[in-house]
Amino acid sequence: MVDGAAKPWWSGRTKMIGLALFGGLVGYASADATMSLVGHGGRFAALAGAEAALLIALIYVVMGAFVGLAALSPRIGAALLNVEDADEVREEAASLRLSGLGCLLLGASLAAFALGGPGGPVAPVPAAVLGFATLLLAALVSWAILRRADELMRAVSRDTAVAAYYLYFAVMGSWAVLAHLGFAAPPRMIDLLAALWGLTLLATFWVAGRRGMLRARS
Amino acid sequence: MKNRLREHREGRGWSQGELARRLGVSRQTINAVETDKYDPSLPLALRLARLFGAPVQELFHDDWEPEE
Repeated sequence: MVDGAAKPWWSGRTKMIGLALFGGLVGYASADATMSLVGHGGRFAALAGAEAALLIALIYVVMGAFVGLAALSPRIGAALLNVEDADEVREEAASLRLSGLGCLLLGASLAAFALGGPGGPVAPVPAAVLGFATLLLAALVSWAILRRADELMRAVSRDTAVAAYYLYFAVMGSWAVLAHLGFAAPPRMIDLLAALWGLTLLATFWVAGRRGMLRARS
Repeated sequence: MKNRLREHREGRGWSQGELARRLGVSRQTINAVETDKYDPSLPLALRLARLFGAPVQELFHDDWEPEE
């Protein structure tokens, strides 16, 4: 945007609040649909303890869909993402496409592992094949993203890895200690997976916030 | 670390996008530097100094003073 030009109504604080509300509504509707499947009386009610993992997988998928949609249409992207204008979406389109794909793959991977667990609708072998295949593809996409990244994004990536490590240490370490001492039930394997995916996501938002990337720019 | 990047950029009449294009970084990076959320690497700071024809300490400064 040219400095000093009148700002459109869908910008600044209005845009950030609007996006938060929209994301909240989409998230609520998706979570409600997921919980109706895995909750009491749902189709996958026998899927023990996978609710958190599925909800986290859903967040990745919704984020991937948003970012992918934004990359395909710069005009929509300018409205959905924290960018200055549609030109910035065009400049970053390749990275955004890869980021969207990466999120979708990571979400699909966790969902496959979760749905292949005890009582799940997917048999363990296809769940493992699908989960590891999408995870491998996500790793390749991440490598491609890092190759394109400039120094800010590389710094964000490093900071996220460090923050995620300390979050795992604090959350899973504390849980393990409490379980070892008999104060809490021990974590299940699906809890560990949910924590790996979920805390990495939390670390990403934390670091992005610290770097000013969540402040309204347009 | 504080900086006067925005002042220099606007002095040239460049948008954040234009400066980002000249430096080969993203607009997000220029925005993060200008808002003191990210200290650029030494190579990027040197490129900025060269682009604006100003010494690095004119663009970036902090309040540290050596002890006597």
